[in-house]
Amino acid sequence: MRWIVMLILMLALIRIPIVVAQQPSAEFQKLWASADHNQDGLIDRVEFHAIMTDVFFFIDADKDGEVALTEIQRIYSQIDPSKFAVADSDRNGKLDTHEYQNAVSIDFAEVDKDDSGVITVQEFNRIYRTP
Amino acid sequence: MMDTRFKPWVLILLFLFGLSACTTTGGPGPKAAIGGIGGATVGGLLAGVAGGHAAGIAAGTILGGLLGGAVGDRIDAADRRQASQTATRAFETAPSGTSVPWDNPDSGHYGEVTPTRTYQTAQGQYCREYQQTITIGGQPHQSYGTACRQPDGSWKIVNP
Repeated sequence: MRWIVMLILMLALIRIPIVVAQQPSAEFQKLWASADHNQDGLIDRVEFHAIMTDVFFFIDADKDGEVALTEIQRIYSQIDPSKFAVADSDRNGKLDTHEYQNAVSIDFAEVDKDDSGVITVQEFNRIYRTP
Repeated sequence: MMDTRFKPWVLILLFLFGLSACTTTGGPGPKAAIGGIGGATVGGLLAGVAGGHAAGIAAGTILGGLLGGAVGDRIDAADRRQASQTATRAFETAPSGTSVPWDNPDSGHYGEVTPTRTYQTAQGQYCREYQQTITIGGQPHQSYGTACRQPDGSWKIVNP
């Protein structure tokens, strides 16, 4: 009997932080609402590319139409430079809109853990973090 | 002789180990992001941009002014999105006189946005005059206007 109680306690200890971590912030909810154009509660590929296009132009600080690694690091310093290098198919040190959209298209599949073709709030919240 | 009695704590440890392995699988796994910049980076960029300038990434900020009247009624949501994104791209990056095209093969509609003149207002705001052509059913529809860059980075059509 004692081990059943222990098991329940262990589960409770594990579950509490997970539930707390999944509470979307107000900032997250605002972002989600701006991305979810058709208001169906899901982000499909078209909606994902639309918001990532907006992000591209925000990242592109010098407005040269391409984003450099340093421009991304200004927003998110933890980017893996080796991934940037792979996405930079023409090896010019910058991602143009084509390279960028190709990269984030692959990232969509990574975020869409259940291969449903849409990103749920839970899937999105899993990758969303403050730099 | 080996003790074959059932040990509950072993089961608990195995269970916890298994659960931990599931919840810490943050890597790409079988859906490896070959060529992607990484889901964590996407999330970090979205968080960073939204945190500082949520209004700046409110998609479709320029849409209302860009596509009005009869043309706006005859194109679908995908056309609108492409036209809006193309206009933003043109305003942000295209030199004056350079056309930035869009094409929606699903609807058969296409168009282009051409910034024609760039100037700065007395308040320091950057504005661009533009020409836009949207072709619907082979029929081109031209329009002209001025878009000004807002403090949050978005563009607003000031006189469509």
